[in-house]
Amino acid sequence: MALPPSLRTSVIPAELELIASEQLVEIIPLVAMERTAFISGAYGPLRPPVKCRVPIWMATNLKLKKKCHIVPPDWLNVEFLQGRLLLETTRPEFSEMPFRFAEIAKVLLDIASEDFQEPDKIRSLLKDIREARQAKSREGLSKLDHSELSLPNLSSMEINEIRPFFVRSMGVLTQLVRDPAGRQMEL
Amino acid sequence: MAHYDDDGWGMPAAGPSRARRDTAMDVDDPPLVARAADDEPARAPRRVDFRPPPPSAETPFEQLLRHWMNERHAPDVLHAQEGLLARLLDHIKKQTDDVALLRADPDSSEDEHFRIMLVQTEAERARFALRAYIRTRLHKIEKYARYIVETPEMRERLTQAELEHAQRYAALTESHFTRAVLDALPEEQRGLDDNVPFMPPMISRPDKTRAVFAHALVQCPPVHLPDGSSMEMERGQISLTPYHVIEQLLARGEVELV
Amino acid sequence: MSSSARQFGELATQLVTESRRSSATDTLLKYNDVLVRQIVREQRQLEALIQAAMARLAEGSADGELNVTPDVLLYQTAILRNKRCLLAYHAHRVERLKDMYWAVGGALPLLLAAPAAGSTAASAGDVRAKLSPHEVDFLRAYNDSLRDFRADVLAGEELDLFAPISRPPRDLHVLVRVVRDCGVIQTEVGAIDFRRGQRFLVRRSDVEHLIVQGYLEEV
Repeated sequence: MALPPSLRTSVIPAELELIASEQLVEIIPLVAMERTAFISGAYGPLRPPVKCRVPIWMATNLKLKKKCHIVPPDWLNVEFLQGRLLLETTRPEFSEMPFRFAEIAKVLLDIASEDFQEPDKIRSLLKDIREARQAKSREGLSKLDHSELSLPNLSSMEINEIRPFFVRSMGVLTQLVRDPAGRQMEL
Repeated sequence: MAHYDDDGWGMPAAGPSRARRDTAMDVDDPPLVARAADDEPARAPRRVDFRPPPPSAETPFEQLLRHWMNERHAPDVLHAQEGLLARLLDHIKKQTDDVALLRADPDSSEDEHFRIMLVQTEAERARFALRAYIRTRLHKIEKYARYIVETPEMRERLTQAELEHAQRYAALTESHFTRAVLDALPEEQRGLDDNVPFMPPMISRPDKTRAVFAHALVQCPPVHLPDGSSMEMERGQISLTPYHVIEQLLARGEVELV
Repeated sequence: MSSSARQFGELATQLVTESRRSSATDTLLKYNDVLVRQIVREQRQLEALIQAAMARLAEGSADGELNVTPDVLLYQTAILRNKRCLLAYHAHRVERLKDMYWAVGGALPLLLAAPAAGSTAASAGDVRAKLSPHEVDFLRAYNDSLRDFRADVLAGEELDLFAPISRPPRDLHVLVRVVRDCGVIQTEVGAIDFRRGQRFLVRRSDVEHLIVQGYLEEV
């Protein structure tokens, strides 16, 4: 079919990364470029070493060609993430993170880890935060009914991970509720 | 507009945001070339919250990304976005033509090379999202082709080209089943659309009870939930709920599917 | 009658089991003409049985009122079940064929080509020999419909509907290895003669269709 089997039940991380890469990030350019009209807007001018905000896809392309440094977003550092980890492990709710934090962190750390201080520590904090939040997701499953489940501060990548199981579970609950009524109507 | 937050969450200012940016679509820019740099106040540092920007702050390409994901997650076929697609296709074409001009110019400097590379890279991203979006619709249109063809309300949501494909496809599968199976059966058994108790119907239609993750882009009006209660989604709220609950919110662009 | 040793519906179960096996192993099995014919034969027998039973009922009833007997119900159920299984089998195959068609980027001739001797590329497998003639017709008509669709929608060459959509572009260029000779291809940097074993750094969009069709491989 027009949609490959791997894309039929959910979205793949690479697609989420493509979407997240439309967001803006600050760079320190190493190459000059006039202000330029792109499909997603006008960016530039790039005047080394003046900082400039550009979409992540542009930053990563320049970075791959060693034409910029990426300024880490202010939530993507050890201090901030340690604070979030503390919240995740001491409070019952999900702490607030950018909706696409997992994708953005992965794209930037994969390509520009040298622009980060203590990138390994950042990675390990992200992993710990992820695990703490996964435990909460599983707990959320116990509150699932056929009607509605509110999931405050759940991020895009986390939704994608729980999607198949949660959607199927709600489907089963919907059937359980609907079927007795259906049978009554047939009688 | 991007959302400003006075009390904040102790969030520092920078970092990726979906802050409003200039869209180049409606502007008479010379090919790929600069406008004055001071007409973009949105680039000033600001406090940003993590909630989604309202749809009005989106660039056309971000709109496409949203419609693409909506289409991927919705069990039903959504309204076609023909105008948006046409604008984006035009824009891609314009960028491609401009690149060709720049390339042909023997005076193009080495620096131009990066500009060209970036413009092309973006065009590839846009092409990818466009065809992924179109094929997601095509997948559902073929799956429900016979239902679409017989349901005026479904037909309205398709572009002319999509509807014609749906009609051809419905006829094609009918003729395949007829020739490969039904023609060989005794005359009494040749109907394609028997409605048999305890068997699923032959014409499949979207299952609107399937659960979706809805992400509110604005403060939403109340909707009815299957358990009899009602819900008003607040901006930024994420809910897992059957598709039919948020169907109208989605059609009005008040929620997106994530 | 050979079917006397068998329950009605048994053959149909075999047929849908094949569909399941095809999905589970992700392979296209050869169209089971023999089994399909056998089931069609069973349908005729069932129809004859049902007609005979109805005739007996009509004889036995004074004026109209037909009390449907269990045997009629049984034959009818078997008929409907067999028919649904036949349709499900064909529908399942159609979906598989469409998957294969899209997987080679809509290159129907490539899909239907006889296998090249010694070729290892999956796309050149012996697909055609596994299809019924009706299925070949289906694919051709499907291909035609999509060509029309593409011509209507996509404003010509701006967009290749058949290019892959499971790997979003990150970089403009891609390093490829030539798996099968594919002759001279026009690219952004001029014409390239792709010969087996060679490697090239080329613009992704110039060669995407060749990757899908199994001529080139991303390194």
